Amino acid sequence: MKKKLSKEHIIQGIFLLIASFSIFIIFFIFFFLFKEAIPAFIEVGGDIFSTDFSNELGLGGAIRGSLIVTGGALLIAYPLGIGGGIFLSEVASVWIRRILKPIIEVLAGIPSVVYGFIGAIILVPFLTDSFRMISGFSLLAGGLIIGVMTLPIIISISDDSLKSVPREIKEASLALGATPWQTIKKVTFPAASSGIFAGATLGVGKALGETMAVLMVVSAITRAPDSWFDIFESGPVLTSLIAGHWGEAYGLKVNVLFAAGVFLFIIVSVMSIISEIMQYRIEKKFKGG
Amino acid sequence: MRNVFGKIINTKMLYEYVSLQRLLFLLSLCLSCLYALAGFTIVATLNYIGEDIYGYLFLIFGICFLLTGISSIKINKKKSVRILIFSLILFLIVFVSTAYPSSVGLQDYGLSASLTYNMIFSIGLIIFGLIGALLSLGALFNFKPLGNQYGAYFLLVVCMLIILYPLVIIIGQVTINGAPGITWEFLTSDVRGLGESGGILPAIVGTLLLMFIMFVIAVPLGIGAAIYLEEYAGGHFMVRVIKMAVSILRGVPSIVFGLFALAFFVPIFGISFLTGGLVLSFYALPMIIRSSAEALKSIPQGLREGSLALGATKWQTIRRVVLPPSLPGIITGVVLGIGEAAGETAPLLFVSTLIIKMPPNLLGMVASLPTHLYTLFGMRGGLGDEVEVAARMQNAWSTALILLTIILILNVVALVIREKFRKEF
Amino acid sequence: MKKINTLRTLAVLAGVFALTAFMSGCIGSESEMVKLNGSSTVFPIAQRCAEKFDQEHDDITVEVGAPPIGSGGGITQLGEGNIHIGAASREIKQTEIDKFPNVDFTDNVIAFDGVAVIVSKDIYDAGVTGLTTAQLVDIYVGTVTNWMDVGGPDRQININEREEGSGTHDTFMAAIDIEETVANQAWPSNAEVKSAVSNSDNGIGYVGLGYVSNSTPALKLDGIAPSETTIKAGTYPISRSLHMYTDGAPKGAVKVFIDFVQSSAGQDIIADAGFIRL
Repeated sequence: MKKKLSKEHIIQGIFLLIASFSIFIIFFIFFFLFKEAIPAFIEVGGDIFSTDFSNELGLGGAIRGSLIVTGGALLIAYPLGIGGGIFLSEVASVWIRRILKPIIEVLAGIPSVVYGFIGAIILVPFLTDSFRMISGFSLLAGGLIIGVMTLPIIISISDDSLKSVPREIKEASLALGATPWQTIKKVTFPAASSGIFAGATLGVGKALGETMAVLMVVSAITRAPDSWFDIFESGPVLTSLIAGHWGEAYGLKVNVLFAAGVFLFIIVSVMSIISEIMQYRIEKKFKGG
Repeated sequence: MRNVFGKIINTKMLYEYVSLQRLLFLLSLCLSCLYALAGFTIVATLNYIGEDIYGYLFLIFGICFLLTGISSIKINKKKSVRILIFSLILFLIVFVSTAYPSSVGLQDYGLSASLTYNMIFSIGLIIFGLIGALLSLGALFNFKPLGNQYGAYFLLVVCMLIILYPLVIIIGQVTINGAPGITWEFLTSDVRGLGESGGILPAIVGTLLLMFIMFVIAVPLGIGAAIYLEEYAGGHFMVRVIKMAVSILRGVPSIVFGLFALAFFVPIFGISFLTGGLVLSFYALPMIIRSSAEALKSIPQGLREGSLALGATKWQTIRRVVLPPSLPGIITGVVLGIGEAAGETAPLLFVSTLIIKMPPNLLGMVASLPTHLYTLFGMRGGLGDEVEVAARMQNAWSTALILLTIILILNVVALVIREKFRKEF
Repeated sequence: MKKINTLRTLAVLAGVFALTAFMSGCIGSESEMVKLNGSSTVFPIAQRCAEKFDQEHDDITVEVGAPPIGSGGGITQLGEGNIHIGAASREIKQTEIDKFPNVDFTDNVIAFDGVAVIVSKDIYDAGVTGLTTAQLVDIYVGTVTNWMDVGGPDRQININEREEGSGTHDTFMAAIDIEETVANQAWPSNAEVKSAVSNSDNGIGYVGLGYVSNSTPALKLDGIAPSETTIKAGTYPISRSLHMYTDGAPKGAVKVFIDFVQSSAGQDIIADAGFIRL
């Protein structure tokens, strides 16, 4: 009996070790990124937020580019994705749902390099023609492509959140004579909105971290557009800056690229943590009340 | 029989329902949908229909809604005023359209683009078409809540169609352009030249090899972690920390994994398959943990308690009672996780090669379908004349098709397993 | 319900893995591996030479990294010992030599090249067949933004460049003596500059001589067209040599490969690709 017990303990210990592996990876990633980035923070100092990458090694332009592309992507993905989620969970009949759900999953599964390829071959010439741009390789193209790529996440999160709203609440509303749409608008959606918001922060992370598609449709330029709002020009984005400049970088520039990685890592991690905490609270709320 | 028929469609009701007024509302609705569709088609295909036609289009639209507004005053004054205002806006557009330049330069506002007359008005068609559809739907249902509901549902359907549009474009284009290049030879021969001739066998083998490495490394780690989280730890503090770590790891951008590979794995394993496989394993790990944990969670608590009550140890319970029924769910997650990681390019960006022969061993550079596609994309205009460039482009499309097919097959496999699993329970 | 013994499954998997590793080790032991990465200008040369070389040598496999990581990347990876040959389209910098004191960077020149200024076919056909260096500078620093100002159609100029640090970029910038450009896009390889220029109707860019084609004609600079004779004579303003750096004098398989590239068979491939033989 005693022997068996100790064997159980060993097994549990092994599983704990395996489970802790994720923590180690996170630690490793952060440690190695930070180790390589420290010289950049020390030697570049405050200039790291300057928009001039070529001379001052500033990442300001890239951070701005990331914000513009992510913002544009979310402007597309949020309304459409939440609409799609409401359609899937509340409006669509069972068989339409059974067809659409896997299709949305397929949309999520398409590799980003394929999105980038289609974006550069089809979307970019289209944009060049339709907006008479000097060239369609632009932040706008990046925002559009990333928006499409973020859609499936927003859809499935909205769908899940709406589905998890207790049935009794909806039925009570319907019993009071509200139409299904009034129920969705006034009861189901508000109840699910905190869940949608919590999950949607993951969408922000995904859009920020997308690399290949951005690199292929925005190009690897370092010069930020003069105006904040000039989405019709190409500009640096954190991810494409790393991917496009890694090869040719030498000296301090390598460290600055690692610093860009650190920025990305920190922003995305904060997003994940916020989302996790919010989801935990929602779970608690639904369990408690 | 007549009785039944009469019950379903009361002739008197029918007459009441199909009045001239309603036909007018229906006409506005159809016109709105048609306009929105036309606008969308024009924008999507860039086939402009000529600048002078837009004025007439909006004029017809405006007249239609003017009539709709007037005839609906009796039903609901407030709502009909809205329709009238809408029609006035449409007339205003007609008026403006006659005096508009053919394109508006945005350069003065610091934007490097111009909006053409055509673009503005086709987008206008979409927007006003959708608004018109909503307003006329409302009128059609006497401005009752039901009308609102159908309006909202209409918008949601439009939403869904817009969502599906890129999917159709991507799969359609890749299939149409990629299919002609796929021959047995393309699938089974080595890469030749700069990718313009020969096949993609090394890339296919490379991707399968990467999947295999992921399977060996990420799956035991992932399932093990899920077992600890769901079976052993309970509400332990450690669980919160690990779950947090998993969700952070899930969000780490793929390019950061690439940097990590450079800083950590490359000094140890060199630029090699092992590095590529390891970094992709780490990338796939959180997805596998998450889905495995969910599969384990779905096993009823009673099964575990029953087994424990019979004197089985915890580990025996997990091995014999909990794992077998949750295996389909776990496999689904594993397949999806590995599929997603196998499609990633960015982590492999710094360790890949346009390999000519089959990968010689695990210490060779990485050949994989996504990086091969990216290289072909980069080289598409590269060295050579038009014929070579076209051949390279063809190979790029075909590579994209193969990559997409593999991902789709994995998705379908996952779906089938999950559906089967559902039936069992 | 099916009984699945997890432990046994894992053991079997581990066995299969070990077997695969063993087998691939066997395949690997037959041939020696030479890893090469670096400049995107040298990439087509390296890839085509490697293909030819592989047909003749069963005992050596040459792997050419793709997408190419650029001259600087090739030298860094060589310095860190991850690859055997670092391809570069520029001379090694003192900072790079200083960074890796233990590495004895040895230069092996494999070809000559000029940086050609290319434009979209539309522009070339509309009459812009040559520019002066001063005009080129004006375009790249942004004083001239319309093709009309240099004798072309009324179109805005779509300026393409290589990304900073690339050998082609450095050579170009040094030759026309400017520090910063106002380019619309920067690309991580010569091929992508060529694609971007050939797919637009208002583009200008600069690439290695081998990338000049009918769809992207090269301009005369100060009246001189880039060609083998003008570059060898030194009259064309932007020229350079292409290098394969090794750690110490090449030996073993690396030497066999570099000898092949420098041999007449290798030089034929280089000339065939549009670059200039030694």
